[in-house]
Amino acid sequence: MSEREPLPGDLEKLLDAERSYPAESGERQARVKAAVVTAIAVATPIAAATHIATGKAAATAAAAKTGLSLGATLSIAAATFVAGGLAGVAVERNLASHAPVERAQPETRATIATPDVQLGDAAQESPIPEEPPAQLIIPIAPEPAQVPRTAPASHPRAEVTHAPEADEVIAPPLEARAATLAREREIIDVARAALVHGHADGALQALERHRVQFPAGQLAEERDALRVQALARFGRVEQAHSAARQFHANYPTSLFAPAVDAAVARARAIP
Amino acid sequence: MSTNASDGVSFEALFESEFSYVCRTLRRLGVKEADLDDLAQEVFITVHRHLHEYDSSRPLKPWLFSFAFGTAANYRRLARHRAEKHEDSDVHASTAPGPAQQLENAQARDLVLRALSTLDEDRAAVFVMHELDGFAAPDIAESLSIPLNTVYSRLRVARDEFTTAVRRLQKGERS
Repeated sequence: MSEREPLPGDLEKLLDAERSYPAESGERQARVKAAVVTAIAVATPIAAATHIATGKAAATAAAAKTGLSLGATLSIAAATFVAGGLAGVAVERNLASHAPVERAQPETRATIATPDVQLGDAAQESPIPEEPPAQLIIPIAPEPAQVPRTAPASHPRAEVTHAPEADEVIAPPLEARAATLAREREIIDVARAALVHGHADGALQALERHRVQFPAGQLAEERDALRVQALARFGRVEQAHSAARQFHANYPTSLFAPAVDAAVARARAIP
Repeated sequence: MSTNASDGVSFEALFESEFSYVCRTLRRLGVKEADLDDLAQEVFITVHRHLHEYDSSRPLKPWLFSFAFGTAANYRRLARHRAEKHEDSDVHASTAPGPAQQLENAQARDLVLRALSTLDEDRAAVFVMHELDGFAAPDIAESLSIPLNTVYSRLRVARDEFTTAVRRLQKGERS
C-alpha cells in the first residue's frame, strides 16, 4: 500500500480540496498556545513551587504575563509533569532523565515548601525516618526573606525552620501522604477534564468536593486557581472576580496568578 | 525551551509547525469548530507529557495523529451524551461567500467531513491517515498500534463506506 490506489475522479477532487485545507489563523494559534502554556503551568504545581522557593517565581510569573514564555514555562513544566503522588514522582524522574530542563539544585531542594516535592526528592535521596514526625519540618536556605511561600493556607502543618543541611529534611509518612495526594489529584483531574470539555457544573462540583474533603489540601492552591478559571469561563463573572481577589489574598506570590488574571480578563457574562 | 535531550525535539517548534495539522486532523475526526480550540489544547498538553517518548527517527505526523485520534475519540464519546448541544453543522460556517473556487473548495471539504463523520472512528482514522495525509501502511499500523493487515482491511472497508456516504450525501443535496 505504499502507492495509494486512487478513488474515482470526482472523489479525488473532493479529497484534493480537503488536502489543500488552509493553515489555521494566527489568532487561533496564539489563543491555543496561550491556553497550552497556562494549562501546563497550572498542571505543574511542584515545578511552580520549586521555582518560587528558589526565588525564580517572580521572573517566571512575569514571563508568563508577557505571553512570550512558552519555552520558558514549558521548561518548568517539563521538569515535573506530574499527575500526583508517587506515580508523578516516577514521571518526574523519567522526564528528568530526558530533558535538560531547569532542575532544582541540591541546595534549593531544602527550600521547597511543597510536600509534593518532598515526596519526590525526599523519597529519592533521604532516608525515611523510622518514626514519623508530628510536623513537617522544612529547612530553608540562609535568606528566608527571599523565599516566599506560595500557599500557606494549603500547608497548615508545615513549619519552616532553618537548618544547615539539605539532607536533614524530615519526611512525613510517605505512604499516607502519597495516598492523600493521589486522592486529591484524582478529584482535581476530574475538574480539569470537565473544564476542558466544557462541563461547567462538573468542574465546579469536583472542585467543591475537593474543598469539602481537603479544605487545606496539598492541591488547594491549584483547586482555587481552577475555580476562578471555571467561574470565568462559564460566565459567572462576579463570582470569578470575587474568587480571584480571594485567590490573590491567599496566594500573593502564586505562579498561577497570571492564569487566574487571564481567565478573569477573558470572562464574559453569559446571559 | 522544552527540549528532548535525546533527540532535540523542541515542543515549541513542534507546536508552531504542527498546529495546523493537529487542527485539521481533529476536524477530520469529527471535532466541531466550536470545540476545536479546547481539543487542540488537550492534544498538545498530552503531546507535551509524552514528548520524551518520541523517537525522532520516526515520522512526526503519524505520532501526533495518535494523540489527536485518542482525544477525538474521547470527545466523540462525550459528544454522544450531549448531542443536543452540537447539532449545529458548523462546518457550514466555512462556506462563507467568496470567490467561486473558494466556495467550491469549502463545499467539497464540507462534503468530505460529513462523509467522514459517518464512518466508524477506527476506519475513519485509517482512511484519513492514508487517503488525506498519505501515510504508508506500516506507519499507520505503528501509530495506531494495530496489525498491518488490520490497516489494509480497515482501509478497504473505509474506502467503500466513504464512497457510499459521498454518493448518498450528493443525492440528498440534489433532491
